[in-house]
Amino acid sequence: MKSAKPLLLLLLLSSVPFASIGEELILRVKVISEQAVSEVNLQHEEGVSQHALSKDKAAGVFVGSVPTGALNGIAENSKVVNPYRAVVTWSDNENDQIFLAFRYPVPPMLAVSVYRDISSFKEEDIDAVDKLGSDYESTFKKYFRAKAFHKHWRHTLALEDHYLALRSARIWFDAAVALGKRPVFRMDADVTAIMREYEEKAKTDRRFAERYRKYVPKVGYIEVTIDQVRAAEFDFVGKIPGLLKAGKFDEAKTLNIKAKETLQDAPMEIRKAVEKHQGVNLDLLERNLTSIPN
Amino acid sequence: MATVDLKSDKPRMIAWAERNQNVAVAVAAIFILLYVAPVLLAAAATIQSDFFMEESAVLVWFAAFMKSSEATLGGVHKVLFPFLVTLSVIAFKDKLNYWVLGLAMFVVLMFMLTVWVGVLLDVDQYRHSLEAQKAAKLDASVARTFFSKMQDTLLMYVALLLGLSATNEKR
Repeated sequence: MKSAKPLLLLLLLSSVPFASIGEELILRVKVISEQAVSEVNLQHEEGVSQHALSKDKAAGVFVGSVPTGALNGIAENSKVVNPYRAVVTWSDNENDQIFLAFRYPVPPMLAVSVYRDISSFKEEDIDAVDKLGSDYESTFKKYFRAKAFHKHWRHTLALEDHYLALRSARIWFDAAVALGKRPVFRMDADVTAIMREYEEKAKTDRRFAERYRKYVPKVGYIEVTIDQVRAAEFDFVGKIPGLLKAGKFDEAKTLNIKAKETLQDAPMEIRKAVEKHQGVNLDLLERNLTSIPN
Repeated sequence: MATVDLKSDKPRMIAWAERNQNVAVAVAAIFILLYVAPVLLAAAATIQSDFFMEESAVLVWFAAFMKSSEATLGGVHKVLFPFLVTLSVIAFKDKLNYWVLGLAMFVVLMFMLTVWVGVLLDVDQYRHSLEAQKAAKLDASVARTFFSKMQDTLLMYVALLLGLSATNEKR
């Protein structure tokens, strides 16, 4: 028994560094395409960190195990949402991306799919994309196929105002919103810019507006939806009043500090959206700091 | 020497047209309008669909005509021309030249319209935007061939009208 004590102590000590190793993100990227993949990476939005994924030939997916400590900005007292993207670079140097938004705590496992399997760009093809379901996997299918369809009409044919380009943009936008509303994803900046461009054009071009409004009937719908998705990144601020009611003052205060820091850095439109959708603004957070009991 | 009364051998339509020249002019005008209807339809579809950028009911009609250009509608279209030519010769015989020249101008205008639509269908952008439409489902190359044939026919008709005008002038 005497000799067992130092061994137990050694085991306990050795378990300390391994505690952080356990906190890792396993990212699985399933790629569905005839095109060969040259690499798959998890990149920070601002390029400050990059993690390559390796191919699991048996499973036919790209897998990467990233310690959460290695993800930039993922710390308990960090900014709340950390923008990342899973980037699939194809052998023709094109790439496809999934926009991710990690926050503390990072989920242990994330499985995403990238589709590059559309080669015909007629109305029947976008009909088939539109008919896809709204489950997790179908959302990826819709997102990538509608995006590819739109890009073909916009860039290859230079017909960005064609009704099929408008229709595919709307399907792409809806799929991007569906993904963006999920906790680990964020809104696709490309489709946001495209829809805003269409909205602007619809204000000045009556003929275009008639065509565009068949796919986006409500004026202002795009902005409201984008705000909702972006405000969803701040959904944690809505938990503060509940924590206060439950008497969890320390937790409420920590969250309040985080929320205040994040909102201070956020653009005005986001602040307004958070106030509208989460009922929280900077004034309230400021007041909370003095009124939450220690 | 015995003479043959050719008048009595004339087909009924020609005899009727000679007796009712004004009505014949009106019928000829209707025939020409029917003959060029596909061109007018194509031009209207081009404008209505904002150069094929959106779906258009007129475009669907035009596409339907193109699909059956070798069938019923196409057959009717082909039959119109010989009737039109025959009727025109009689209807515009001895008519004032401005009628004939006016009609020739109209036909030339229609010819220009077929050229315009044909050129549009040759532009990759427009061809793609047209061919991708499910409702229209129009093969641009079929439409181009149709317009090309129609251009030949319209020019023949213009030649006929100008010839008729020259004959009227002599008289």
